[in-house]
This record gives sequence, C-alpha cells and structure tokens, in this order.
Amino acid sequence: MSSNEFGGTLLRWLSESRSGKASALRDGVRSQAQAWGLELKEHADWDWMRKAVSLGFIDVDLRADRWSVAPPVLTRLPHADGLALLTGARTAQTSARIEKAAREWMELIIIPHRPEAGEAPLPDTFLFQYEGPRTLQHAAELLGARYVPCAALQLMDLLPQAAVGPESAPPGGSTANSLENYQLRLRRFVPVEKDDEDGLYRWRGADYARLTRVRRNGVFYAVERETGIYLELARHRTCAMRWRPEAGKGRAGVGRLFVDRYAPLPALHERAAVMCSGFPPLVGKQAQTRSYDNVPRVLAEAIAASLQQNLEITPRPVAATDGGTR
Amino acid sequence: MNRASNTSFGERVDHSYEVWQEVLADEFFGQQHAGHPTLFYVDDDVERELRHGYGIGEPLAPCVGKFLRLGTAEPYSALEDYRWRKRQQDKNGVPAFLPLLACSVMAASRMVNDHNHRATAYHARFSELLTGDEKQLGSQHYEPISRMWQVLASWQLAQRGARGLRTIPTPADLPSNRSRIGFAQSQALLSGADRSFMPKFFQSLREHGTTWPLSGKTLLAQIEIHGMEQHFSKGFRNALQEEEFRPILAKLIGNYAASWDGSDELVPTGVTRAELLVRLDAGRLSWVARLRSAEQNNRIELKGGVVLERLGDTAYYEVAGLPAPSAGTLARGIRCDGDKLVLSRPSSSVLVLARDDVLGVWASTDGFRPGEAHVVLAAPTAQRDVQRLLDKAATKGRNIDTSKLVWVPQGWTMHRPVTFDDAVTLRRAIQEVQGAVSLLQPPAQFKLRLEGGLKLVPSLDPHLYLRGGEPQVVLPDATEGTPLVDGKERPELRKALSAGRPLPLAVLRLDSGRHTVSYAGVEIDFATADQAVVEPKMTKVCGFTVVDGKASASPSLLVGQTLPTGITGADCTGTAPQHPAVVTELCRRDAGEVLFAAVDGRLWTLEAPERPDWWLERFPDAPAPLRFEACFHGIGGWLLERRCGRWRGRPVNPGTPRPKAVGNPQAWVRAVLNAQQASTEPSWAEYVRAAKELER
Repeated sequence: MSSNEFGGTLLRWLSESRSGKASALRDGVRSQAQAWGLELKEHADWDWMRKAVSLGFIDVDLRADRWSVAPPVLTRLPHADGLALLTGARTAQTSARIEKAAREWMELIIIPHRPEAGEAPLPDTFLFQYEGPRTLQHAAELLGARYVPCAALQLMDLLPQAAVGPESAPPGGSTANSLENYQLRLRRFVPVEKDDEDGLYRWRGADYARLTRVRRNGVFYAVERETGIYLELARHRTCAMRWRPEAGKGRAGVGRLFVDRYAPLPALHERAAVMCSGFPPLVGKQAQTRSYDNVPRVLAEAIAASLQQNLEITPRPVAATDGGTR
Repeated sequence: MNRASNTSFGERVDHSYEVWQEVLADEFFGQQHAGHPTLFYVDDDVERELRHGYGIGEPLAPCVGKFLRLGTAEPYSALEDYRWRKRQQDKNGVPAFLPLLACSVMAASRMVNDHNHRATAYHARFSELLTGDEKQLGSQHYEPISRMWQVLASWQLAQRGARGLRTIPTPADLPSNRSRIGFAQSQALLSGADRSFMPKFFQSLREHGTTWPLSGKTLLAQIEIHGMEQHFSKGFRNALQEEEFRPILAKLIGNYAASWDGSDELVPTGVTRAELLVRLDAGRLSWVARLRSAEQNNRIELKGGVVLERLGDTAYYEVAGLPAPSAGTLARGIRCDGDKLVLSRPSSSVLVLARDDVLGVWASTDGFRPGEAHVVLAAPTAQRDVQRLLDKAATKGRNIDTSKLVWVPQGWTMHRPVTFDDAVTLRRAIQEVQGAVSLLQPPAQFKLRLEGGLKLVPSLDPHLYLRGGEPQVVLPDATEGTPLVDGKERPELRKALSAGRPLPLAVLRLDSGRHTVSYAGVEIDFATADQAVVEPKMTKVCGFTVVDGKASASPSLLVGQTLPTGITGADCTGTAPQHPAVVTELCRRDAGEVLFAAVDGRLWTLEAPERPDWWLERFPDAPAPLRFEACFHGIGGWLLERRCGRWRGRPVNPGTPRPKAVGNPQAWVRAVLNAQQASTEPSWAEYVRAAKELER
C-alpha cells in the first residue's frame, strides 16, 4: 500500500465522521497500521494526531478527548511563487470536486508524505499552482472550500503570548507520588519528591489526567506543557529557536526555522509555521531539531517573541542547495 | 420414559425453565463473582440445594428435557429460540441456556464419580439424564452444546471479570477426543471442597521455599509427590489418573495458583476482589487497584491504613498506604481486607506491562497481547525462562536493561519493547518454555468476530465501515477451516492466517457494499461505503477561541459566540486581519522586464528571485516555477511586464498618479510611455496622460 492511501483513508474517515473522541481517532490510526502491517513507534498515533492538527486537517481538545474536522480551506503559501495549499476536510464530495478540477482547470501538485521509520503516514499534501491571487477566491468557491488569503501570516497576528494561566492548587492528595519536575539541563521531566523550588512541574490529577503547572514564588499556575517549557527556557535565558535565511538571490526574507525538539511549539504556533509550506517539520539528522520550511523572517520573529525567545539568526549558507545543517 | 411425548413442537419454555435460568445466572455468574475464578460446578447435590434453597418445584433435568425436540436434527432448537429472544431484550445478559449447560455438567459429574471417562459413556449419561434413555441423544447431537459453552466463555470474557474469571477451557486446551464434551467436564473436576483446600496446599508448597507461582503441571506432580490426593474429592482423584484430563486439571489448578494472594483462604465469593496492578508512569513503578464490579464508593478504606481513591469515573483506584512495588513486594503476595472487599495480588516473578487504554500509561497485564508492545520485567529466578521465550518468539529490536533505570526493581532485568507478531509461535513457545512464563498466554478467542476498522457512523450502524478501513477478522482458537470472504478463499490472507494474526480485510481492496466472512460454519457480515450515508451531526467543534485579537493558548470546544470567531484548521477568517496594506502579485519569470510604476512617480525594476531552496530540496525534479511573487506594502501603482516585445500591465491599487511627488520622475515617464499599450483601462490611460504632461 502506498503511504498516501494510508493517510488519505484516515483523512476521509475523519472528514466523513466529522467529529469524535480523540482516543477513537488514535485507535483508528493503530488499527489501520495493524491492517497494513506497519510497525509503529510508541506514540506514533499521538504523533499522527498532532501533525494532522498542525496541517489544519483537524482540531483536537485533549481535555475533552474530542476531535473535529476542520473546514476545507484554500490558502496561499507565503513567498512560494504561486503555490496555494488545499487543507481541511477531504470528504468523498470534496475529493470528487478536486479530482474534477484537476482534470479540467486546476494545476494540482500532489505530494505524498514521506514517513520516518515507525511513523504513521499522513495524508498527501495538495498544492495548487495558481496564476494570480485574484483567481484563488473563485477557485476556492469551485472547490467548495473557504478562501483564506494567507493562513500563515494571518495566524501570525493571532499568536497568543506565552504566559502562565490562572492560579491553581499545588500537588497533593493520593496522586502526589506522580510529581515530576522539568529539568532544563536534561530537557525533560524527572521524578521528584518535593516541589520546593520554582519551576515547571507536572503530576496526575484526581482523575489521572496529567496536570502541568508553573511554580512562581511558591504559587502554582496552570499552563500548557509546551508553553510551560518555553516559560522555563525564558527564565533561564535559554535559546531553543534559530532561523536561517535561504541562500538564493532575492530570498533573504524567507528561511528555515529550527526548533529544539525538546521544546515543541504550542499548537497554534506550530500550525502557523507549518502553513508556510504545507509540510510537517523535518526531523534533523541527530533528531535534535525540527525544522519548518519557507518561514518568513517576520513570522519566525513573531513566533519567537510570543514565546519569549530571542531568535538566533544564523548566516546564510554559501551555496543555494546546501541543506547539510538540517 | 420419553419426555418428548409431552412436548409439542414450537412450544416455548415455561416459567420453571426461566426460573432455573435466573437462579443459575445469579448463583454462578452474578456480580458477587467479580474478580474470582468461577466454576459452573453442578452435581446432584448442588442441584438439590439450589432447588430447595430457591423453592423451585421442578428438578432441573426434567425441566430441560421436556423442551427437547427429540428425533429431529436440532433437538435444542426451542431452548436456542428462548436464548435469542432473551438476547433481544438484554444484549449483555448471561446467555440464556444455562439450564441445558448445567445438565451437561451434571452428566459429567456423574461420570467422573463413576470412574468411567470414555466419551461414549458421557453421551449415555447426558442422554439418560435428559431423556431417561441412554441412546436418545448421541455425540452427533452435541455440537450445539459445545458451541453454547464457547458463547458463554466469550460472554464472560467480554464482561472483563465483572461476572467472574473464566475457567472454561479454550478449544486449544482440550484433548482432541474431548473437543466437545471437555467444556462440561472441565467444570466438574473441582468440587467446592477441593477449591477450599487449595490455599492450604499452596501454602504448604511455598513453605518449602519454591519459587511462585508454579505451573499447573508442576502442582499436580507435587500433589502426587507429597501424597496429598486424599485431601481432594473423589472426582478430582479420578481425573488425576486420566492422562486426558490432566492438562485440563493442570490448567484449572494453575489458574487458582496464579490468582492466589498468599493468604490462608481464597477470597470468599460475595466479597469483591480488587486487583492490585503495577503501573509505570512518571519514571516510577506504583500500585493501582482495579475493581471489576461497578457501584463502588469513591473512597475505600482497608485494614492497615490502606486507602483506595477512585480515579475520575474509571474502574481504577489510586492506592495509598502500601510500600511501592519493589523486588521484595513483587515477590510476595499482597492481601488487604476491608468491608466486603479484598485487595489482593499474587506473587510474581515476571511482570508484563502493556499500554492501558484507560490510564494511558503502562500497566501490568495478565498475558501477552500479540501485535502490541510490552515492557517485561523479570526477577533473577525467571530471567532464564523469559530470555528463552523472547528468543523463540519475540520480534527483534528490543533492549535489555539490568540496572540503569532507577525504577527497575533491584536485581530484575527489563526488556523493552517486546512484541510478538506471530500468535501461533508465541503460544508454542510458551508451551515449550513453561516455568515462569507458563501463565502469560494471550487472551483466548472463542468466537469469530471483527476487530478494529474505521466505522462510519457507529451509533447508527455498528457494522458499516469506510472502504479502505475494513476491520480485521479474529478467528476462534483451535478451530480448523478456511476463512471465506464473500464465499471465496483469499490467498492474500494466508500469511496472517498462518501467523495466527487477525486477518486484515483492508488488503483485499473490496468494493463498497455488503460482505460476509465465514469460518467453521459461522458467518458474520458487514458493509463498506465510500462516504457516510447519513451526514453525522457535528455537535462538538474544537478550535482556538479568539478574544481581543489573540487566540487561546490551546484548543477547546467552541460553543455559542466563540464558534463563528474561532480558528478551526487553517480557517482564521472569523477574526484575523487580512493585511489590506499588503498586496501580493505574481510576475512571470519569462518576462524580459518587469517594472513597477508607483502612483507617486517612483519606478522599480523587479528581478526574479532564485527558486525557493526548500522546494528544490524536497522536489529536485519539479519543474521550475513559472512565476515569482512580488509584495507591495502600502503603495499603489501599475505592474508592467514585457514579454515577446509587448508590454502588459496590471493595476495594484493604482489611485490617481502624482508623478511629481518625489525626485526626478524621468525614468518613470520613460517607462510609462514605453508601455503605453500595456492596458486599455482608464486608470492606465491616466498614468499615460500624466507621463505625457510631464514629458512636455
């Protein structure tokens, strides 16, 4: 089976079902992998779900254990010489419309996902090579999709600032023995007995749901895990983000955003970065970073600033095709 | 006496049959058995006690016998009809053929006591019990009853222990000449007295310092070595002599040993047994309790200061007041008594952890689940057996860790990830290695069923799948035959079949429509479609809320007012500004010249940038793009392209030209006049006019 069939079938399923339980979605990923004899890494089902979120196919509320499919959207990739991304729901009806358009008028570029070993394949990326921005609105109407001029740059303006949430209860009760503290040196949570220092903690709540909390001056505040890690990085003035402009003439304003793999971007930041190319991030050779393609410097700076990071700008590579530092 | 003469065909079962069904269901499969191994043991004494205890007028055997359709091909059809009617009323209820199965056990108990174990003798006993005639019901009539036993076992498994732990053997456990009657016979082997003697027997063996638990085979050998047969019932002693019964007996007694928590008596029926499981989470091993029965308090206090607190609305409880799992605590059994509840855990030298769907972490499990990843922890005494099993049957690519991780019990070894792809090889390897791993058999399968798959609208049609997301077929254990899909044998499934794996129907690329799978005389059907026939309601939409121009940090359910302004997928048009000040245009790369004549008299020459690096890297073979992008920030004008010696122009917020606004507009004038044919739009005509005026 080709990888596009795997991801495409799952996306069709989600699109036709429209919404459901997040746990059932992960069961579906594992069941398909079992059917096709794919050996998945631990957490590959979670990974698939997270990436489908960043690609704009679905939205997930983990606290409610729910997912819902996103509307079909046609949106321009920034500085991509006339490429627009077709994302969101791909029902049988939408797929039929796309196929018809591709036969009749649309220059459609279908790019299959290339999964890493143990990864569950994602749906194909659909790119539309358009002739002028004015045609996009009409094209979206013909495809039954919503037209979003440039999701990446529009999301940029909406990115929330990393901040602690409301004050919350300290660890305690019967699940206190699940306490862990985020250790910056190791870039991971490690078991601890006590919460006697400020920092980022997590433990299990009374319903065994995982709680992540920031401790500031002895007071605990609710926080998302990803945001909490960035707050911790900021407290210790640690950089986890670099941006490198492209080498080509006239491309200095666009580049590649590298993010430390232990500091994954919060969901909306990740989506903004992914909407620049329509592809999930590439994993570096030593698997230490995730890199996002075609990110305008202005977006990279906005992502960094909203996460209290100083964006490190690395020099432009000499040769245009040098991708060796990935 | 032939009771068939009293029965007219088509007659429904009567009140006393219904009472017997209820009494047997309550007595043997009631909630008081939650977490306990249950034997459906019925002999003449038990039958009499039940009859008197519940005040049932009619003895069991005649009550069943009068509804047999003797002389027909399907003598039990009236009883089966009753079962189906009951099932329509209550899908999860105990299958309503218990009176007939109870008779099959009574026949076995009589035979066991008679010391006459031949299969033919069983059928004669059974026939005599139900019809008064040894020859009315023969082996040819018995197949439906063995099927009922498997349905009962399958039902009990599906209750996840809430109605007792299964002791009915799997077809694979039965000797070939007992493949049908063995189910009933297995239940007649251990009387109540035998079961209550069990803890004393186990205790005596443990006093000798033996590792624990021992396999059933070893336990039987120990009974004989120590001459303990006289403590067991006559039926047990007789069965012990029979080579054919020994494996079943071994299995039964082995299961009791495996669930024994080290105390002097088995947990009495009626007292809820909470299992103590080991959980791996947050970098440490900890205890978690699981209760099989519903309707328990959120907080349960046990003797010795042990407290259980329910985790959310799950069947799991956090455990406080017990020392954490370690080499010491794992090797001993644990038992904490409370009010009508006992928390217990048998000792173990091998700990198998698998992902627990409810907790979302690794938790201990009874046996290996083929196809899933496990973490295996082995005490020094079990290390050799575990290593042998993994070498024989597990897939490659696992790590052994002896001490590096702090949570691994001292002296124990840890293997992860351990996966068994081939269930047949796994079962065989467990049989061969025995010892410490003998109890880690994968869960038994009693019936043909579908598993997994991508269901389209499960609430409306549980058997409708998306085409391409067809389910897997799980075959019952130890049955033989060729599975047929839509009446045909499919060679694509052979590999999975020989490995004992569920058969993936998706690989067959079936057309959409109705399909059947048949195997060993049983047929199940399902349907596939390319799309949901009924569009499901999307009652819960997830997304990011937007307040004051900023999105929420994480997605949530969008309701009411947050829905139209929220961000769903790439759609952020509800609130996002669209950068009206920035206009993007595409310019042709094959143009000889591209100019931008701004409204204020400035002129830019636009040069095509190089192709995007990332595009080249990802798709080196992709054709070069035909266009390049130009962005105009807060400025209007006309975009001019020269191709094949001809100018073409496009307005970009052109406004009214004021070319004198900045500097020396000579270049602007020349460019506009050169390209005066670029457009016929009035706005361009204004630009040309402005250029001509300036030129004068």
